[in-house]
Amino acid sequence: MHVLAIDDSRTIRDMVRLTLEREGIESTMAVDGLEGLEILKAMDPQPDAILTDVNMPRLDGFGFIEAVRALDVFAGIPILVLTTEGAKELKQRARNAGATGWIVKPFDPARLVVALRTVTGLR
Amino acid sequence: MSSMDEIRATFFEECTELLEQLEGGLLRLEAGEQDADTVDAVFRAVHSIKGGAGAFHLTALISFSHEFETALDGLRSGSVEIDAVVVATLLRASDRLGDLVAKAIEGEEGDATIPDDLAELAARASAGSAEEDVDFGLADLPPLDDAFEVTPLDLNMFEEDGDAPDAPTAPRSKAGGYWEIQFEPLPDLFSSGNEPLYLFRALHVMGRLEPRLIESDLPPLEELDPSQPRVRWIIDLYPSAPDLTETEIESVFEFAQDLCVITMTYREPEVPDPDPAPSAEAEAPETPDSAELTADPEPTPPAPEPPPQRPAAQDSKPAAPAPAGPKGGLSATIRVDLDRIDRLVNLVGELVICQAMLSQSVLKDGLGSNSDSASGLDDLQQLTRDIQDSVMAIRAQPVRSLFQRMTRIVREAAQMTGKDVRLETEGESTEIDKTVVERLSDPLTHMIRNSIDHGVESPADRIAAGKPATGTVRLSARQQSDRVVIEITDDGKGIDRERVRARAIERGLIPADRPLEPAEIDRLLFLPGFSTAASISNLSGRGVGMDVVQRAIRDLNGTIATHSEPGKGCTFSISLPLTLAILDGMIVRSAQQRMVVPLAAIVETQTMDSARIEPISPMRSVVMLQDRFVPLLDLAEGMGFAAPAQIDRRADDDSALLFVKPDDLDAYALRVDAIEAQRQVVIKGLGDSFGRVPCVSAATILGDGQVALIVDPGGLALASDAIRGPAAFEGHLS
Amino acid sequence: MTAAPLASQITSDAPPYGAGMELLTFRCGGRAFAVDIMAVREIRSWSAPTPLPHAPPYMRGMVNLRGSVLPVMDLAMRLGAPRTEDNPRNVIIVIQQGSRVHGLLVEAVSDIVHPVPDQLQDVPKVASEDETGMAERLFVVDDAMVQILSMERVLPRLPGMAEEGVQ
Repeated sequence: MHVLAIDDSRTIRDMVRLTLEREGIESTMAVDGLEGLEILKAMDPQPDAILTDVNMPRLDGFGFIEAVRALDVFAGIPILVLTTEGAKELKQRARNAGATGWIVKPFDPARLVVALRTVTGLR
Repeated sequence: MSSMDEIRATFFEECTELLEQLEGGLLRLEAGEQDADTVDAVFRAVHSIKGGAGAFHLTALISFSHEFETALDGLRSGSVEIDAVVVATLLRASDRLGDLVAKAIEGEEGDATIPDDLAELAARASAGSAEEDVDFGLADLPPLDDAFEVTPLDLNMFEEDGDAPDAPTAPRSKAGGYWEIQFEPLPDLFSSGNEPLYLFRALHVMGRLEPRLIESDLPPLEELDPSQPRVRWIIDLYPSAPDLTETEIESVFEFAQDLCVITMTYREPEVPDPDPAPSAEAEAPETPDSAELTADPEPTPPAPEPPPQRPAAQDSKPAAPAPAGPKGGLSATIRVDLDRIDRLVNLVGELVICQAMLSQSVLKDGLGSNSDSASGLDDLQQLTRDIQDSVMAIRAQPVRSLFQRMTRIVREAAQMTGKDVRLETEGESTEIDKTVVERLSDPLTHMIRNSIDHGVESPADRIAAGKPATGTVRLSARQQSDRVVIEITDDGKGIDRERVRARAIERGLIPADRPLEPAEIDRLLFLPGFSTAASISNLSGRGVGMDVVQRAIRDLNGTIATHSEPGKGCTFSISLPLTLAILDGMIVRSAQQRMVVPLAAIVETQTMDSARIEPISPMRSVVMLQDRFVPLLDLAEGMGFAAPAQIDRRADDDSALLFVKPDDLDAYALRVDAIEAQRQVVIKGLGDSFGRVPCVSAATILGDGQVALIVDPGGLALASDAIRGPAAFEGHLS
Repeated sequence: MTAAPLASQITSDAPPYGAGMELLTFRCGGRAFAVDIMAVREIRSWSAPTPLPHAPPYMRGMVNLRGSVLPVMDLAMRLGAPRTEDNPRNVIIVIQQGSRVHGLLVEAVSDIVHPVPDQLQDVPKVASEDETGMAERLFVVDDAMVQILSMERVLPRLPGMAEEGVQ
């Protein structure tokens, strides 16, 4: 499995990378939505899933998801949103934008992996 | 785990950057740049700190940044209007946040008490957003976060195998039965990236599946819209674990909850029917892909592979290296250990020396400058310089973060002295060696405190003097050829020269009867043992004297100069080399030694026979520089390699005069036996082994491998009787 | 090669001082001296040092030690003897003490010896601290005496040889 993870926080990026690494999941990182979009378009093969933060400079998570979903070739890629706790309207907006699911930060590494496996159908 | 430690270190590193962003943003708000981007950036900074803090259970940091974030959210939503009071509150909160981060770095908790003003702001902010919540109609929102409630990160999770999460307690299934799950996707399911097939796979982990497609719902093929699911499944799940709970099953549909209709019914075991496979299509229960044949609603071949949108996804499983998009500019930056860069810098230094040695030996071997070797060497020299520049650029850093740190110093100093001061900055993007940036922090801090303490007047005094009540301290940086000049200017009362002079006399630093020029008095500030602070306030006196500032600047091969106008203010100019490692120098010979004089200090060179030299005492001479006589010193004498002697013109030698102008001192002339060359040299620090060596800033290694000293013109002037006390000379001349 | 660093041998009483110790002996100012070989980083042939301004006379200057600057001290002068004559056969013993690396200019290196504890003697107490010199032990073999130098005492104390020229 290969995951594109987007977060402007280096700490979170490192944690995601480490979490996935330990599960044998490859990851590619981007620092904001715009970079995420650029990288996504350049990725071959496409990632099996995308993990994105919401609050980011330049292009935020919602904008990123909308941009991804606007392109047919990316329609099938599951996108999980990393949100902060309790922010229900954030989740709803993410859903409206086309997110597949959400992970609450600070995230539980095991749940992150389970969620990724669930949405990708990959081990 | 060490990798967790590393992430922790990363987090604190990032915190420092975020705090700078935070403060920078708040200052922009203060300056009136109240656009949404700035507010967002400020919010994000606190938000990211909170996020990371959560991962490491830094409770004080979490609770403080949470409150802070709430307050900032008010700014974002517009429920809190941005004004000076609000910004001041936020700036103080950012200082507190900085303190908490600093505590956390030391492994301490810190005081998370929320200051009243921040709490009040947060309350205003959340009052505003509560109304908005009502408008959103919270009640209509589906219960999204049952299963993914905040679970504080358990570091041990990293050591485990990532088992399925603990399910909350829920009715347990009885042994032997099965779950009948009705699953009807809604149209949005597919546009959200959810895939029924994968949901089935996840279910399959829990037990044997018997999916049935409810075919009557299927439209005729020609009407089938692949993005509009019109199918429904009934899945019988025979749990492999007898205590499988409904919640656990629901967790599979976690993300699909409001995108499909799900009903679950537990069925008691049907007594006589051990083989419940009525559908011929159902495969052997153990096959993971058992659901596929009937489950895939998309008009794609029901191959046991993912849909064709991601044809190669399976192939890219663990073994393959990260398929970094080659053209996408994957990462704009990489992080490199500073040690590695330093090693590179050293190696480049060696390369420069080696190249110089090679050039020298080519010349010595009599190969003409038109020879192939010589032109090859020219290319090599150019390349070497380019490499040098590139390597130096790696270490270069904008002074922005340094300047931002000073805003806090200004705030604190202003508060402590009861003065009203604002900081103006300019040229923050000027770049300078990272080490220089770091080592400037203390001197700048001290100088700014000094400016506020001694320079800027109290608001009342300022008004009385016809100035605005708010004083200004201005911090600027600019590049000037190969140096960076940093200036600290205040619009205060200027250096109180009478007081400075009196104090220097009182401390025995100068004889009471010695007449001093204003510039000389200003220079007294930098003498060791001179500190005006003790008598005036406890602010700048807490730290160090200006002599320590000067030493710190000299250690960076920099110079410092003052310019003060009574009643108008004072400027300290720090001039620093762009890098620590390379210096443009003039190689001269004196007393059989070769020495390097920094080119930056040399204003002019003259040959002895063209110079106008006038003896003014048995041992001393002066020489004309641009219509003005300046003291003349023999370099060998200044360095202590030769006894003082009268310098006069000897037409038969190569000797020359270098007119040098240390930044903080008057110009003077240095006699050298010969000027050998002008070139870049690699600065070799004298290291721990020497202590301080007067008149010398560092050493270098020349092309022939010999060590040469790099002369410190300022130190040389201060150490020399011939130059100190220029007032005496001027008396003679005028 | 089991010699522990000097410092620990002085402070801990477990292994008797000098047990398994190796000494580098050399001539300097016509006399014989020794240093613990653990303090010796390398021995270099002579090259003319670049003098330092306003330095004590025993500081002969600096030489290039593979791209870094090595301060060189005339050990004879440091010990109160006349200046070592410039001679291409002189050698520089490179001493590492903590983070400080120094060169000692001496006439010639003689030998590496493994003293037995019987051959080591305390430095007799003489009138004043100053006069006990720079030796920390004496190595006596037959009737010859070799002073084992304490590098702590030989290397000049920091801060440096002279203060900043501002007065």
